[in-house]
Amino acid sequence: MMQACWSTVRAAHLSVVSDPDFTVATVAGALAIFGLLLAVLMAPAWQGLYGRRVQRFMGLREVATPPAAWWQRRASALGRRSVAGAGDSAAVSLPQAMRGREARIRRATWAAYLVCVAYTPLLSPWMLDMKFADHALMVLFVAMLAAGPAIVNVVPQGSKRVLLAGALAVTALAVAVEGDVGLDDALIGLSIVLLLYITSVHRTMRALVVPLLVLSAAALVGALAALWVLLPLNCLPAEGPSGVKAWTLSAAVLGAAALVFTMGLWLGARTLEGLAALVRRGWLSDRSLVAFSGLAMLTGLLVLAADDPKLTPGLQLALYTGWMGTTAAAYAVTLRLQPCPQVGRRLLMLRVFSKDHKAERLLDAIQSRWQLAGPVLEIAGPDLAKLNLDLAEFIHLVTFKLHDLFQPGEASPEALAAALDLALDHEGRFRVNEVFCFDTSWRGVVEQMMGLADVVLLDLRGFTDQRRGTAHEVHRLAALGLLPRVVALGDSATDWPYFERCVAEHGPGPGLALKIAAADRDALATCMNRLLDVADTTGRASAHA
Amino acid sequence: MSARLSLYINPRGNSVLHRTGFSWLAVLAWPLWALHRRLWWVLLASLPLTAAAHTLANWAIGFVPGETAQGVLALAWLIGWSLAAGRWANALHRHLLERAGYSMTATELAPVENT
Repeated sequence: MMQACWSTVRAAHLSVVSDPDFTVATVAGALAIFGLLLAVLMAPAWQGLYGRRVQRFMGLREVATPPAAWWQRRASALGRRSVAGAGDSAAVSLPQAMRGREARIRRATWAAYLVCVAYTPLLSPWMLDMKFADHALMVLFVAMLAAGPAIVNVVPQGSKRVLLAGALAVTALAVAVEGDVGLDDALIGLSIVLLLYITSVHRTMRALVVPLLVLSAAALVGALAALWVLLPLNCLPAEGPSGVKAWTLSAAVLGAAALVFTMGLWLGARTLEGLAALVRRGWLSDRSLVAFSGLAMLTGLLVLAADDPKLTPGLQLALYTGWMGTTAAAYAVTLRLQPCPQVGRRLLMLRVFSKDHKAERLLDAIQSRWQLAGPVLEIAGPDLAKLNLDLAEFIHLVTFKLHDLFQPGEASPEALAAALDLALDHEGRFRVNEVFCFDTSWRGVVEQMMGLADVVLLDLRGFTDQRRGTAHEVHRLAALGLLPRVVALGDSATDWPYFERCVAEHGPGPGLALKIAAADRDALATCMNRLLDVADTTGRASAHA
Repeated sequence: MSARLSLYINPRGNSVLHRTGFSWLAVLAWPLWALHRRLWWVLLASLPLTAAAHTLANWAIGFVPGETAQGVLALAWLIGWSLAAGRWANALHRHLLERAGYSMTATELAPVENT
């Protein structure tokens, strides 16, 4: 019986494998595209869930103090890097350091971009029936699509719709040059371009699509492997299992299929944890991870599209690893060849939690720019949840462990410091540190962060006497005499007289460093310049003290 | 807000999120609910227990005369079983947490202050 069953399984296996359409490239391409599609379709739902969860957890109140073991466990799970001493803080000013780091990343990014585009012609010998113009168009296509991830790595904030339009235009041009492409193929091509844009460029989706892609690809691989494991079910009679042996076989096969599928998911989760560890240790940032993932998808799809039958899967793998390897090496070597100033100053962002997209955009631009100047500290809130969702937070979300990120009550300054990542990464960027607080902890945490920050951005857009949380922050800043470190942003809805009354309650004292109207055309530049000046002065004063 | 979220932490520093009230996931499939709550023993026990309960009910329903009555009873049993799972699942979770040494550290009491 066993031999007959084995023959049936072999026959079923061979009937699939001998199909000329069933190749490693076809399977890998289908997995990549379907994985990408699944990830893009699931991303908004996860994004919404994340925002709702954060909002809900913010309403929890501490009723008992967590044991010391919980704080220790939390600190070791977050695994923050230690901060190196700012040795050159006296020699280099903060704006100089910021410009230096920005230029360093820009040069490395464009070096990697040029290498990536220059590698494209190596694919030409493996593309059949292509004229010179087609090869040139392929290079242009890579240049256009790779520009997205490259620009995201240099200027992460803001919309990049022009890039999408350019990539779609090149794809349309390729379709027009090809001539005999059907409407369905053209639509598939445009959809793939759109998917690649969402993966690596779209501001709020890109951070989420990459981990979802890893998970959905792992789930698809697991499902495919599980289907293979189900082949022995062909040995059962057509009318279904009967007798102990048949039932045992069915149960064993179904159990093995479930195990194989779970292993696929487990491998996906391990891959995500590996990537998160690279980010945590400073080898990658959320931005470069997204940028490299975008390039990896683009180059991977192009290598899989090579149609020369002489191109074996091994050669394809070598071409692909060579492509990504040289691109990554160009980035790493260019970074290494340039000095990276170590000085960094901490910015605390305090804000009215608003749902206004315009308000979001300005804050996003400031926090993204400041990552080149120093770490950003802020209380996590539903307003910036979409923009700041990172890999570690995503892992907590999908493992239903998001609550572990939240601080139930006031912690010691050491515990707070252990939860913050204040170190410079290998690329030359600092991190945005969102501190997740329950309703009972945010006041204490904000005050501790005021003590840690060199400069404070106080976003008072929409500030009225109804905003008791922000009023509390204004009171504390005034009481601690920190207003000279504060740059305040306001708009037509800001109740400045109420702000002045809050400040006046703490007696006469120095005022704000600067008040900026957010509607001004140069609000971002003015705000950044003043924040840098204040942070530099405060930082130098603290270093001398 | 009917269901209330609470954070339970044990002396070793492990934390678990608990939700009070009715569980729709347990109504649909309580082994899945046990998996979601990481209650491995409950998950393991749930499969034979569910199979045994349904077999027993099926056997008992077999004594009722009339196919229509049997069908109605079987449906009522299934609905009752699912609703009971939904009603008691989260209470069981809290009971198991407290037995395992977890205590409530934070809970939803008031709406979030508008900052």
